[in-house]
Formats: sequence, structure tokens, C-alpha cells
Amino acid sequence: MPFRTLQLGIDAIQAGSAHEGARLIRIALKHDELPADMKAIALMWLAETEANPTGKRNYYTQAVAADPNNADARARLMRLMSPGSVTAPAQQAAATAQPAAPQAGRSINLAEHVASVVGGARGAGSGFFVSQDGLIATTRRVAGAKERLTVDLHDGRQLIGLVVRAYPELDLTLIQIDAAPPFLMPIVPEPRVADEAALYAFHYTGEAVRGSQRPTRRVLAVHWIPTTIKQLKDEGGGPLIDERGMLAGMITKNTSQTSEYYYALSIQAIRACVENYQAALASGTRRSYCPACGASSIAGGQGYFYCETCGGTLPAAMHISRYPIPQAAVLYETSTTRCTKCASAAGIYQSKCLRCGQGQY
Amino acid sequence: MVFKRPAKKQTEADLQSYASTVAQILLNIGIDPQQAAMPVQQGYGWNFKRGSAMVEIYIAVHEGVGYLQVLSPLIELPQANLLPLYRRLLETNLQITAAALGIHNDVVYVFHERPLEGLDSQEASNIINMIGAYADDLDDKLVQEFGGRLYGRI
Repeated sequence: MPFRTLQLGIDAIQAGSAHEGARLIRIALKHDELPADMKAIALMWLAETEANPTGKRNYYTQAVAADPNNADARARLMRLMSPGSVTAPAQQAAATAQPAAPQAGRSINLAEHVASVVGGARGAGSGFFVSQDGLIATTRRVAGAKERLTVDLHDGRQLIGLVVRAYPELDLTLIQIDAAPPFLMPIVPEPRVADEAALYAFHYTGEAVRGSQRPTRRVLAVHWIPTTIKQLKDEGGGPLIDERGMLAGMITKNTSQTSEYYYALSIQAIRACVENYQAALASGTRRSYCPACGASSIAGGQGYFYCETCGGTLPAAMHISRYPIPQAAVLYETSTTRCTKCASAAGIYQSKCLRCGQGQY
Repeated sequence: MVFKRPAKKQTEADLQSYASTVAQILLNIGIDPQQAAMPVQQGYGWNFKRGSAMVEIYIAVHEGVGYLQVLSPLIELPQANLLPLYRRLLETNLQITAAALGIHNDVVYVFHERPLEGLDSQEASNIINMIGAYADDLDDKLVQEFGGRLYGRI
């Protein structure tokens, strides 16, 4: 019950109803069965609805108290505790490789966070660090269905990047390299980029394209940021920075059917994917990357030949003799319901068996 | 047949002419057209073995337009492992030239169809050989990798 209420509250905030969202989250917080980590997340969302810095700080303090392991809450609290960090006028990000952005008393050399990604199907693109252990985010368009790419860092190092996970529906690819950024770029605290907010799409050379959030009447998934950017110097994947020097998302080359403006993927969606990938990694289940669909395949981790998500042949099985493995069959079944005519568990779609096509009556 | 274009209406005489062309092609590749002939509701049909595969040829009229259809049933679908098999069929579909893979009533087919108008014996021969070769190559590979069974075999 509190989870559902919390989810409804978050949805309401993401849809722009901050007041209603805050009300629902407060209701969820009254339930004792809400675990500490969820309580911290709820408090962080409440903080997003609070305009007053003191109120915001109170929520973050409570979030850290509820879940001391929540690094994001701690980082946000530290930013708020830093004198002048919130109320000081935003410093304009320069369109160079080194926009000095205020972040807890230190300036950011953006070049340390951005990399060139080479070797994909469509030419070079950009990427940027999204974790301290060397995960780089770029677009699926840049990485294509490759397993390895070359990543050039600002200091001249050229590293092999292993593609570890991709989310084609979000045009996102995560690449693991053996290098780490000095720290992660600060991300925008708001769940949505404000209408007409200035944004800079950075290219790995340090050049930036200036644009802004483009208000649209189209109903969009919350993870897409419409921009006024129409041209990029590469295939995309670079960080999208706001005027405060905070990371708002990743620029992509996706457009709508009716305009040429590019959309960016919000940093919240990227973070959720990174956490999803890291959780799968931490679960201890052996998996392997499927370049065809970007999934972490359990079938591959068990030595089977095909990805259970897309059915594609996994790289390790590409050049060997393949044969039916009965134990693996359960991974490729999409349904527990068996066809009344052919007994296959391939699945039923519109009352018809996906194997034999016969109606289920 | 998505795009309907005005085409010459096929007469029975036309169909007979194309049927004799196909019969001649079958003779040239060592198949007796009399023995290969199949009873069909409309038009003409033949079938013959090509390696492990069965090739079926039809000359038929659809909405006033005559078509040559060459197809070969490859395998009966297996009970399990359908996702990888379907994916492979789509991938192979993109790789093969002038033919398509599809499924009808639990059976995977390789298929080619073209209007009879403008068809000459060389082209018809090429199509028949091509479908036969695809079928002979693909059926064993698919059964070996995904299970199921060769069409019409136990």
C-alpha cells in the first residue's frame, strides 16, 4: 500500500503536480512498513517539491538519517550546506571544454568527464562518466551492436571499452573502461528540466552547441528532454549541461516525426539504468552481454546459445556448433499457459497461439 | 501484392503457355513434369524433391493477374526454442536474395512469387533452382540447430 502511494506521488510530481505528489508521499511516509531506503527516496522526492532551501535541507537531513548509505542524499545535502551554493546566482557555463561550474567549492574540468567513443557503426560519438568505477554512457546509435569500442580520454589515453549493457528503447549504452573520473559531475536536482531552460550539448572535443529546453504540447515520456538543438558535431552521446553547470542528460540524435530537433535523455533515466545494471551485477547471477538487444543475458551466463530476451545468438556461441538444449527451453518460453491445440508454451497473442496460430477457445 | 497496378489480364491460353515453359524447365533439370504434376484447384502445380527439400511450383491467377509461385516447406516448427528460431528466420530473411521465409500452419516455408507477365524460361529456371538450393541448404541447418523435424519426415 505505501509503495503504491509513493509511486503515485512520484508520478504526480513527474507530471508536474508537485503539491498533489507531496501530499501522496507524506501519506506513504506515515506507514511504518516503508523500508528505510524507500523512506529516504520518498524524502528526497519531497525535497524536490520544496522551494525553500531550509525545508529542502530538512528533508535531505531526514533522508540521510533514514538511509545513511544513500550517497545521493548525502551529496545533495552537502551541496545545500555549502555556503551560497543554492542561493548564489548561477554561473554561466562557458561553451568550452572547461566550464567552471560551482560544485561544493570545486570547479569542474568537463574534459575530464567526456570521452570520444570510436568504432561504432555510424562514426565517432561522445560519452561521459556516469559512475566512479569507469562506466561511460553514450547512445545506442553511437555504439551500435558492438561489444568493444575504443574510448579516447582527454589526456590522450586510448582505452578499450567493453559494452556491458544497452537500453535500445532509451537509446542508451553503458561502456566499461579501466579509468575513473576524479568525481562525478553534479546532476540537476529537479526531476524535469524547466521550460526554455538554456542547455549546452557538449562534444568530446570540448566544443558545445547551445540550445534550450523546447516546450512542446506533445505528451512525452518523462525521460525525454525536447531541445532546440538541430545540429551536432558528432553522432551524439555527449553530456547536456544546464546554465548552473549541472548535468541534465545526454544529447541524442533522436527526433520526432514532425521536426528536426534533437531529444536528450534525462540524467534520471540514465541513473536508473546504471543502478539497474549495477544491481544485476551485484546479484551474483552470471550474465553475458547480448549485443543484438543490449540485455544482460542469464542464458549466456549459463553457457546457452541464445539470448532469452531477443533470441539472438550470443557472441560466445556464434562460431560453434549449436543444438537444442532442453534445459534452456524454459528461458525462451514467454507464457506459462500452454496452447490447447499444440501444447506449446510459446505464448498466446490475441487468443492465438504464437507457435501454431490456432485460436484458443 | 500491396501495390495494385493495372496488369494484363491472364487468359487460359497464357497460363497454358507458361505451364509448358515450366514443364520444359523441369525436363531440363531431370524432372518428369507428368510425374511431378499436382492436382490443384486452379491453375497448374508441380512438386519434386531437391536434396532433402520438397519444391512446389504453382502457376495461378489472383485477381486477374497470373503469378508464378515457387516455394518449399522446410521444417515443422519445434515445440520449444521458438524465440531463437523466429529471430534466426528474420535474420536469414534479410540475407537471402529474391526469396522470403515465412510460416504457415506450423511449417516454415521459403517462398518466391512474381507475376507471369514478362517471365522467360531462363528466369523461371533460375527461380526454381534458387528456391531449391535455399531449401536444401536451410532445412537441415534449422533442424540441427533448433529441433523440430524436416517437413514430411519422421
